Parts: sequence; structure tokens; C-alpha cells
Amino acid sequence: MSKDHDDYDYLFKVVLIGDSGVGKSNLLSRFTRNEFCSESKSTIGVEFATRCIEVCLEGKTVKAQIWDTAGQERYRAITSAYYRGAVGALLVYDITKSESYDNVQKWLKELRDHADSNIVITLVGNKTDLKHLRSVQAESAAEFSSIEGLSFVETSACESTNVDVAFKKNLTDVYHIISKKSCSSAEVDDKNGGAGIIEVKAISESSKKNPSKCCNV
Amino acid sequence: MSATAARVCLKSQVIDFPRSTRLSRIKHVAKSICGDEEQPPGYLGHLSSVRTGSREELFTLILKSSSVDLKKLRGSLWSGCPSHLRPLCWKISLGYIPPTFQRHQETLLRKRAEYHSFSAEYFESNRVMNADELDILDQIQIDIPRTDSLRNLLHNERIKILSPLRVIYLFLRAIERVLFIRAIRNPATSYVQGMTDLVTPFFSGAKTSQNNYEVFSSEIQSGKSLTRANDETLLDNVEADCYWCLCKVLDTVQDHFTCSQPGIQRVCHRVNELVSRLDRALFEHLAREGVDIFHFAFRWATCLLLREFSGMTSPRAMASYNAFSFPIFFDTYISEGDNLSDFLAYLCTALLLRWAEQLKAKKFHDVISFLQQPPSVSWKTTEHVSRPVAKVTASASVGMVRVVGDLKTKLIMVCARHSPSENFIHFSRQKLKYVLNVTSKYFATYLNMDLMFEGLCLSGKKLLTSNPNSTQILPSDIKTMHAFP
Ligand SMILES: Nc1nc2c(ncn2[C@@H]2O[C@H](COP(=O)(O)OP(=O)(O)O)[C@@H](O)[C@H]2O)c(=O)[nH]1
Ligand SMILES: [Mg+2]
Repeated sequence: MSKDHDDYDYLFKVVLIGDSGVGKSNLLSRFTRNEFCSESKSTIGVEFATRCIEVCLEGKTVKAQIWDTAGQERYRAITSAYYRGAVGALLVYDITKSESYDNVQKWLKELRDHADSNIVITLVGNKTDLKHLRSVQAESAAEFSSIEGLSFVETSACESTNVDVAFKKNLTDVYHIISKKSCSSAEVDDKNGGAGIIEVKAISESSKKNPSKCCNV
Repeated sequence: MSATAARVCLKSQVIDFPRSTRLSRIKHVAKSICGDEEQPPGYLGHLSSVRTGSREELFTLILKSSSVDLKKLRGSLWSGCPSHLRPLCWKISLGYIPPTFQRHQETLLRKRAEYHSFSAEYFESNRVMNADELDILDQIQIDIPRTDSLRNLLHNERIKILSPLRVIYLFLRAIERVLFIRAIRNPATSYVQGMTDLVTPFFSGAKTSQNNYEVFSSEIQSGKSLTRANDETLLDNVEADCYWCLCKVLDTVQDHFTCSQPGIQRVCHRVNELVSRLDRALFEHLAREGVDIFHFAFRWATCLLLREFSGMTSPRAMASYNAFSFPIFFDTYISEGDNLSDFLAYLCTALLLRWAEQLKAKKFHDVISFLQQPPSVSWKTTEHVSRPVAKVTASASVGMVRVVGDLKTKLIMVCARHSPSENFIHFSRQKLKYVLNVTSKYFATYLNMDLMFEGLCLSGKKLLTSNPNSTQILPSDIKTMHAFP
């Protein structure tokens, strides 16, 4: 698998969002530990994991710091604080549950209200192994994504299909934006990594909203 | 009614206890294993035979009284109570049933009927749920199968003994209803993820002997348990009792679950403050690494550390015969009453201090990973107690001692518990050191951890109340310490 020591070129903070039960935590555990647990615990607040990957031909290493959030509406007031400083987001829905797909709009709004406006979003349709239960067609999700300017991947955390692809896609897109936008300033600030803020100037300086003061109930 | 009159009245009414001896206790256990024992009359019947000087006797004495002394009960409950007395102790401590014995049945009947009327109302077959209600129910149904402790509960042998699917089905439905009704009736908190974890302790089987399990609350009924009588009305009563008890606990931490969860934020804040005063180096390290207490203590506080102490609710832990194998810290929570939130902050602090050295050597990512899956998840009840003591404690009754492990953390908790917050904070290092020295001497010789723990509480308390603000060790303190049992 990946190397996981501390020599990396970039540290990217990525958030996993989407309705409860769509498989966010399992995507994370599949990606970072190659584990799937059909009886995984519900996520309370936020949880966290990291993995280093190479993002491009030049062999740049990115350490992805991934924050998994609780899907319940009630938690959004808290979890939205964690969007701050995130450069990427995987917005997950369950291909067998059309409501989770309908809610994608809500989640996008959530990101637009609370995250940096340049955040790179990948739409992920999870649970493709449950073919017989599919209720969201890949075509419509793909079309929606291209309208909204998102990348789109279908995955199965269970069968481990496309999970790495989804994360890598997101991280690579982030990398490209950053390496294009700022020739100089995309530096890893390890000390700040702790605060969950990735000091990539090109992104973090744009459009500061006020994400900490929010309560949607 | 005067105290003496009450005692007399009680005597004539229920209590006809034989003299308590160890032997009769063993016989009692043996009989209950065989399962054909006639239940003694009155729900206090099973208290009839207890070992003198044991914790069980302590509780028996407290519960025997026609009007239970709540302060005493809570005080004793704090360091753990015998499993088979737990349902009764919890109900009284939580104020679900009054301390007066004569009013128990009446209260139970009324409360259970009240719950069943809610249940009938909300789950009436032709009632149409609104969108919010459907969302809540949906979320509860997603979360229930993802709750470790619930799964463990259902994997328990108790369930396997009888028609497993039916019982599991009944249980799950009952838990679902409890959470749903609570959510609908408390719109301020509604349902919040994490509550599925909190409901488990109330539904947990308390194993009272090798093959005899009693579901929470069943014993009060008539000593029947689910193993013996697969009685659906019994489960109905359990459900109602669990509902009310869960509500009592959630009410004490109401603001942990209201919008933006201010209570949880307060706990995190408090932990931060305590760590900053008690272990400056750790505090500074965490700050330097950018670790926010919120990152992990949010979950600790939301689920009352049940996930962090999950080893104690594992099927294996529950299956090994030990009257105290139930997550003991829940006894402590119940006894804390309205102070639960504060106590939680102390407990979280104690854990962090326990792991301070490990944490100080870690960077941000590793700190978070460590604390998301802390070593305490594998703690079984008797771990972290030195070997010789562990042997003894396997059969003895031990409270918080076993849960938190080393003396330092215990002491902090003791101090936290017995002193107003400011005193606790000013409790000087010097004193702490001294107390540690004295107590560790006793640690080696004390076989009964429980007594030791109570002694620890006592001396900590005395020390703090005698001269809370002094940082000097005074001769009177030394006396206090050496008066340690
Ligand atoms: N069949 C199938 N089930 C999945 C997949 N991913 C997750 N699940 C299941 O969906 C449920 C919820 O998953 P979880 O990761 O906890 O969802 P989260 O709430 O979004 O974090 C669990 O029971 C998982 O086992 C998948 O790719 N295929
Ligand atoms: Mg999750």
C-alpha cells in the first residue's frame, strides 16, 4: 500500500460528507486501512484518518488528511466547522437510496455556505455491488456532475472497486489547481497541519466566509 | 412515620432474612443456577442471604430500609453495585421510583401504563407519520444495527438460549420505540446519533450467576427473568422502565443534545482547562500540535465513553462470570445524578493524564488516531490492576478502581468528586504526591480493593475539606492519611 511516513510534499485536508449510512466511514477505512466492516459504528461528530499517495508523474506525494463527518442533520452545526480549510470534498450518496442522491443538492449548498469556494468536489455514488437494488442511474449522476462542475465516480467500499480512484481523482484535481494557481506558495506547513488547516495560499485566502457561527436548526 | 415505626412495619411486612452466611449465599447461587428455586416473597427476597461485611451486605442494608437513604445509596453506587441489585438501585437513584418501598409497585404500574399509552399513540397502525418523524425513525433504524454495544447485548448467551430471532426482533423493536418516543416527546433534543449507544446499559442483561440473567428491571417484577419466562409482557415492562430511566439520564445532560450541543462544548472546555492546570506540558504539547480537545472528546462525551470502554461491554466480558462485569462506570454515572456532565469532564481528563507520556511523544495525526481508538477499548474489568490484586479482585467487588487503573487517575477522580472545582484545581502537587506515597504502601498490602478505594475517597475528601486552600501538608493531613483504613 502507500507509504505513510512523514516525507510528503503536500498536506491536503479532505472532508467526507453525505447522508448517514451511505458508506462514508467505510470508504475511508477502505482507502486508509483497506478494511470494510459491514457493521461499522455510526460516526459521532468527526473522525479522522490519513494516507499518503502519489498524485502525478513527477512523483509528488500528498498526504491526505481525511475528516469523516456524521451525516445526521443535527450534527451539521458542528461538522460544518470542519469544512474550513478543506481543499477537497467527497460528497457521497448511496446508489440504492434515491433520497441520499436527492440530498446531494443540500450538501452542495452546505459546502458552498461553509467551505472555501475553491474546494474541489467529487461526487461519489457508493454501493455499486448492490446492483439489483440500484435506484440512481449512473448516467443521470454523471450529467448532474458535469452541470455542477464536479467529478464523478461510482464505488463499492464493500468490493473495493474504485475507492482509490475516487480519492485519487479528488486529490489530483486539488493538486493541479494548486500547482497551477500558486507557483510558489503551496508549501507544507507541518505545524499547522495539526489545526486541520492546510496552508495552501491560493485556496485558503479566497472567499472567507464565517463558518463557525452557524446553526441550522 | 418515625424511623423506628418504619422499621417495625417493614419487618413485619417482608423481611424474614436468615442470618447471612457465606454458605447460604453459595447455596442461593447454586439454586438459582438450577433454576427451580422458589422465589422468596417480596422483591427483596433474593437479598436474604449475603456474606457479612461484603458490598452486597452494604447494599442490602441500604435497600432493606422502608425508605431508602438516597444519599447513602448514591454514595455506595458510585463505586459499583452487585449486578442483581443494579436495576433496583438505578431506578431509585434516578428517581424513577420513590425511595419509599410501599410506593414502588404503584409508581411502576402508573409509569408503565403511561409509557404504553405513548407507544400505542405513536405506533398506532393507521397513524400517518409526518416527514420529520419519518426522518427520525429512519435515522434510528440506520443507527441501531451500527451500535456495537447493542450488538454485543444481542449476542449475549441469554438470547441464544431461547428462540433467538424472535427475541432479537422484539428487542430491536423495543429499543427503536424507546428512542423514537423519547425523540418525539423531547423536540429540543430530538434524536441525536450516539443515543443508540446510551440506551444499551438500560437494556443490558445483568448476569447474576452462571446461567441466570436478568434483564434490567425484570427482577422487580417477581424475580422472573427472560431466560425463564419468555414473556412478552415482561419485555414490555422492561421497555417502559428503560424508557423512563434513559429519559432521566438524558435529562441530566439535556444540553449535550440540544442544538449545537453546548453541553458537549462545555465538557470539552472543562477538560481543556483541567489539563492545562494539571499537566502543563501535555497541554502545551497538544496546543503546539494543534490538537483540539473537541476532535476526540466530542465523541467521548456524546456517548459517555461507552465506546472508549467498549471492551467491558464485549460479549466475552459479559459472558465471563463476574457479578461486576457490567460497565461499572455506568453505576458511577447514575450516582452522579445532575453532576454527570462535570464528572464526565473529570473522567476524560483522568484518561488524558493517564496517557500523557504517550501523547507527548506523538504528532498531531498520531495523537488523534490514538485517542480515537484509545487503549481503554481493550480494557477488561480487571486489567490495569497489578497481578496479585487482580486475582483477588476477580471475585471481590471493585468499583471505579478497575476501570481507570492507576492510582494517580483514581485519586484525581476522588478529589474531583469530593471537592468544589476550585479546590480540586488548587489541590497541590505536593499533597498529591504524599497521598500517592501513603496509598501505594497500602496498595501492596490491601487485598480488598474496594475498601482501599473507599479509604482513598475518604482521605481525599477529608484532606480537601479540612483545609482546601492550603498547599502545605499539615500535621492534621498526615493524621488523616494514616487513619486510612
Ligand atoms: N453493500 C455495501 N454496503 C456498504 C458499502 N459501503 C457501506 N456499506 C454499508 O452501509 C452501512 C453504512 O456504512 P457507513 O460507512 O457506516 O456509512 P456512513 O454513515 O456514511 O459513514 C454499513 O452497514 C456498511 O456496511 C458498499 O460499498 N456496499
Ligand atoms: Mg460514518
